Amino acid sequence: MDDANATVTTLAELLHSPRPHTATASASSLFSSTPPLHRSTTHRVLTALPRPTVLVGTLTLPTLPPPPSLPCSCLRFSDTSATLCCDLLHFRPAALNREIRVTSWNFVPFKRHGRDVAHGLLEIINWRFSDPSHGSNALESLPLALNCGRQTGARTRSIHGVVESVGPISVVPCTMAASTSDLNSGSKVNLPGFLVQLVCCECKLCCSKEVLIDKLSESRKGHSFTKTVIVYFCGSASSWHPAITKMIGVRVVVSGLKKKVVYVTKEVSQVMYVTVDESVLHVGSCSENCIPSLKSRIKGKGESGAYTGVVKGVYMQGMVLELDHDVWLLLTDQLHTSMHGLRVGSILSVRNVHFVNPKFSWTKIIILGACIKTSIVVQSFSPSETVLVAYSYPLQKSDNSVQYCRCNVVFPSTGMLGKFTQSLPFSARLWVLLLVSSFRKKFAGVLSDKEILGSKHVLPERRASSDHGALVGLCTHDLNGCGRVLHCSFLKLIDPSTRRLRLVDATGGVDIFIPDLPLTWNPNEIYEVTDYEVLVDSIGEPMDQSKFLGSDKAGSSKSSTFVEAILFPFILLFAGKSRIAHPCNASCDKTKELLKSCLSSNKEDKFSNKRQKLIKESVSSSKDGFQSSIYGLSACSNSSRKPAENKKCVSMRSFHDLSCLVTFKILQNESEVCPAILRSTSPIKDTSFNSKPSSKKILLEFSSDRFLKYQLLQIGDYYIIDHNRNDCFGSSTKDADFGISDSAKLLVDSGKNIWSLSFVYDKNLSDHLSEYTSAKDSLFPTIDGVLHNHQKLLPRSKGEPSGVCSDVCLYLPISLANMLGDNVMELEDSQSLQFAISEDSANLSSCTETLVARPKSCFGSQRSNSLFPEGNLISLEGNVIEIHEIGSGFFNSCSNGANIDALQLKGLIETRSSFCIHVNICGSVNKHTFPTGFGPGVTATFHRILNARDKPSFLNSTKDADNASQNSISCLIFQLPQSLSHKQIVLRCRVVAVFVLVIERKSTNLIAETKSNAMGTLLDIPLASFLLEDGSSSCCCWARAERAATLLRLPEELTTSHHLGRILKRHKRITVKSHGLYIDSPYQDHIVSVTSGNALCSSDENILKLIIFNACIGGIWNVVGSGMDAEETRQLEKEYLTDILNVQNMRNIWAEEVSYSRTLAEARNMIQELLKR
Amino acid sequence: MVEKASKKATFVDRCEKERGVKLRKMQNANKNAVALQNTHVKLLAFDLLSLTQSPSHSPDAATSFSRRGIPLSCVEIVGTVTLRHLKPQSLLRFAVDDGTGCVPCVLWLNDAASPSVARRRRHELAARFVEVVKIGAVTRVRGRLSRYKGDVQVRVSDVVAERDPNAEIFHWLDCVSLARNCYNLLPPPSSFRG
Repeated sequence: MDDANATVTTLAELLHSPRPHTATASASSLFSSTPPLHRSTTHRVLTALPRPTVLVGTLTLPTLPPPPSLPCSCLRFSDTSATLCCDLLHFRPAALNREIRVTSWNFVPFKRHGRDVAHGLLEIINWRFSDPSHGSNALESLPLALNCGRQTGARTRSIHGVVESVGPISVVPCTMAASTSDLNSGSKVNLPGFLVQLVCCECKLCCSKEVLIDKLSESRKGHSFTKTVIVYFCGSASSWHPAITKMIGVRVVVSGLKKKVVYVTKEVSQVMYVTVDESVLHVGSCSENCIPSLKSRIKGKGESGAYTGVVKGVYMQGMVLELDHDVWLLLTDQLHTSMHGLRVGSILSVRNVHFVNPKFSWTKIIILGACIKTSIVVQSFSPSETVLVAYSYPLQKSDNSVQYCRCNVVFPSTGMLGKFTQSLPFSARLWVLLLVSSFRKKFAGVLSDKEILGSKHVLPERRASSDHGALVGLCTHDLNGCGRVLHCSFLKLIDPSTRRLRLVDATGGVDIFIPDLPLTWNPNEIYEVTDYEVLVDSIGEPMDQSKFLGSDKAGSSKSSTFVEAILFPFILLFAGKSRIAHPCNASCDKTKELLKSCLSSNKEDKFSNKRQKLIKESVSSSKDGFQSSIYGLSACSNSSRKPAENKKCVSMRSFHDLSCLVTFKILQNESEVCPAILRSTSPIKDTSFNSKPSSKKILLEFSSDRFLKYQLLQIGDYYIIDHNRNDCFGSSTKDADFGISDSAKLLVDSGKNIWSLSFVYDKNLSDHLSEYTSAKDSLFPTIDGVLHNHQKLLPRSKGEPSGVCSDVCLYLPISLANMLGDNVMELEDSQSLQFAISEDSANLSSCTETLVARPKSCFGSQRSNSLFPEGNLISLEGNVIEIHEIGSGFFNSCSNGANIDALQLKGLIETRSSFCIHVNICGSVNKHTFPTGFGPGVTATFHRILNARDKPSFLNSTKDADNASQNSISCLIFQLPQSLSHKQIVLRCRVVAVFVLVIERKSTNLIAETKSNAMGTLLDIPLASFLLEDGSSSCCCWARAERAATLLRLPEELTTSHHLGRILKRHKRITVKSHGLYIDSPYQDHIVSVTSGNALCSSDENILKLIIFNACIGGIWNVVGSGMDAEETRQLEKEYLTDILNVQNMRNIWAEEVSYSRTLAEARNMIQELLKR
Repeated sequence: MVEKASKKATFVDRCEKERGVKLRKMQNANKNAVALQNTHVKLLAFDLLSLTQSPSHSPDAATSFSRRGIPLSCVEIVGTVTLRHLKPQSLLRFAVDDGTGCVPCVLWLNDAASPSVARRRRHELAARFVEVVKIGAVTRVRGRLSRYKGDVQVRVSDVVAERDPNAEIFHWLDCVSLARNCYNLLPPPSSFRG
């Protein structure tokens, strides 16, 4: 024996001077199995005892005392003097309860330990049996229970398999006895136990009921280990946990098991083999390594495998271990069995761990996520004097001795944070741990750990729940997708130029504004963010909105969302059978119901049968909601009538029908073509004596399941909704639903479809239409017969209007464009509400579609003068100057009082620069709905306000002036030369008088994009002339479009545009000329002339004069102007100015940009200029 | 305080018309001078109150004002309203203090019953300004220079409440800058005397 000369020392001696050291029986064998020293250079190497030393003692399983004082489940080594926790390499079950000689070992003392075990961990590197005859057996049979009966009952089973995974020890409170031996006790016992998964052989031999011990001596090649079996080591067998953990991959036979159905929860049951008193574990002597090396197969998608590596670092209470290089082991699972020996420098073999490649863009790491199945076995002990994980922790100073043993499961295991952490994917857990760690550092000494970690709010019955969790966890491990990978795709950069990031989910969005984020940022890099702002959209809007919109009907559920829309009285009718063979899905049932209800109200039984049949025929399988939607649309409008019938009906009803083609966007980006009739349901003008064509305002209520649809809605776009007579606006023209509230509500739920709609005008469409019609008349179309032809026929117009991407696209002849445009404009103008009627549709089709729209792309130009403003939702921050009712303003006397409150806000918009602009925020919001304390003087941020003016808004004009002022020179008017060069100049001036103002109704040219779109309204200002002065002199400034509108302060007075629009509707074009000039007075005499021939009523004239007056008492503008040549001026003067005025001798400029003066910034510049001298 | 308001107003009207005609003549005569007389000159109160009046002792409103020999007629001032005296249906007298002095201002409100439609309308508009003039409010006042009891007074044509807290300081700077870059640079008119 090489250790014959070695001194035998006792554990008591070791514990007497508790210093970490290593020892070996012979000098030569030192470090023979410890890792090379260079593995850990930063740590001191364990000092070796000067002389060869051995320990002689017994290796035992831990005795598990009843909880809660559950100590570590380490193996024990005891000699006559003491007992220590130990861990050993080259474990053999045969060594249990036998005397062994430990010839090479490390001793790492604990500063303190639990009650029954002395202070230290013995790491057994080399050992052998004291009696060489021990361990020589080819087969070891070890009773699992302490008092094993050794009676192989007939009803017990044996299994032959390879240990695959071992779960943690858990304790189940039960009323039964812990073991059959004390059945009579009947007391409440907390039954410890753990689950072991084995992969068993299903061959006939192995399935036989005989004891399978002999199988172990056979080669495993004769067996096929495929069937997963769970063995529940409970009661005293639970002390086998450390031993079984070391036997992962080892082929065993367990005999004397009972097969039971175990209910792990009330619902979940699992067939398990449960150890009983007579259970015996049989292990072959030759250890076959069955663990496949998975390293080469790592994909990093959460797959389970084994990893062996050197511990490089231990962090965060042992919850994060760095292995090798860039491999991070996360031991956050609350049920993970604690163990000693996770020291820096040791080589660990981690089994059944999840490999996650988080794909962080800045670094390549692999995360090993430990779960309930994970086991860690030390392959080689650390040669360095690193402390055990348990000791590196401040938290360990608490009095709870249990915590000392559960080295690496200290923190949030039972707190809410722990729960939360464990609910996360592994890559996110790493971040949470880092965050928690940062918090702990930051708030150390200020807040207690409990407060930081949230364990103050421990879940009730955590013990039981967590222990059940262990059982459930292992059984359902694979179902739950334990190693799922985090997808971070919901964090999106909205716009690099705004430095905003947005996190969106179904409840709302969070905008994060990072002012110093470089514009050139790369999302794949990491940036240090020092300053940021979080903008949170309020959640719970639906309730507010419903209140706000006055729809307090009981039907509106909490999760509804509301949309205001204008209803246009058009019905889309399909003249023939659908071209689209759409199958139907679940929502078809609802369509059917809708149809039924329409049909019953139509009292057209003949047709109803037919249609229902049709639907039934169409029912087949489809997963695509949109397709079914289209189906709903087309099937509902199915009619077997001939066009002649249509015509008859049309003429009877005096409706005008427009033939058109409709395309539906379907999945493969193909367009299905279908002829249709767009029917205006408003009476033709000359036949209507008492009713004006009108649009109707409706409220669309989106139920929560249609939230996605709601999100996709765009303000200003057109949509088409299928509806039936039961819908509120579908029953009759004078329906009661509209009655008092003058608005209707339409529920858009899962049974109702809404599609985006666009209009395309085409010159040649009439040809296509006629071709189509003839084809249709001659031959009733079959499902796919005509389809392809017409796809070819259909023009893909050169301009590819934006509407092409809409769900539904209407192709209309260009000749109809103006007519439709006028029609719609009238509808918008008349803000009284009327809507699509379907009473007549009984003859044609039971179910009609109504256009719900906002004017935008359809009829060419953008108009905000209709019911609803359009624009982008913005956030605005600033100081509230005052809140007032618009009705009490200047226009109170002449307007019939739009009773809305307006906020006047002076604020900084979007930029951090320090100039002020005035912003009016208007809305039908009652003062009382603002938060408490809201009023003039507060700084407030408004979210989701609509920037009602697209281009020329004075919100945007600030930016324009910024840009402009860089390229142009600022000067005083008296410094202007008589004839300006082409250089642009910036004047800071006031409007003193208005010489000329020409306002006209905007051209309704549908195709041409109107660039001169003043304030996005119906009105246009082709020319205006102002007298500007800046204190040094005055000049004549010519302006048009939005520049003129801004100088007139039209954008500041919302009601003004409205009134102007109304006046222009009658008079088309208005010219206002100054009659005389009083230079010091805004009270000028003006001549107003109109082109309509009708006289302007005095109130309208007053409005125009008020507009001019208002312009003359405005603030200071920055006007970017360019020079005008004399001839130009002369012509303008000749055409527009009265004789009394002579501006030729004045300086004339042409306004290029107009914006509010940036007072503060300009004052700063000015003082710098003044100080220079 | 006795003012023959209505009589004065008609007179003022006539003057204005005359001035309009005059204006065009002046444009040809002396552009620099006209430029200022045609403009609301921005002056600080101390400057405004020390304008030269000519003829210095004439009792009526035909007084002309000049600064460095350059005739002025319209001014713009910004300051805090420190005095407010309203005679309903007649006039609003108030003072604007810009920190360098206090400028007396008058806003006529006597055209409510005027037979002229235009005048009644002007009155309506002027009545709106009354609401703007509040003690302590920072206002921008434009008007014509006039004389009352031998002192300069601004006959107000319009009043705007200044909401921008920087407006007052900006106005000071503007006045200094304009004086330096414009008013002080203009050569005094040599030949122009009506």
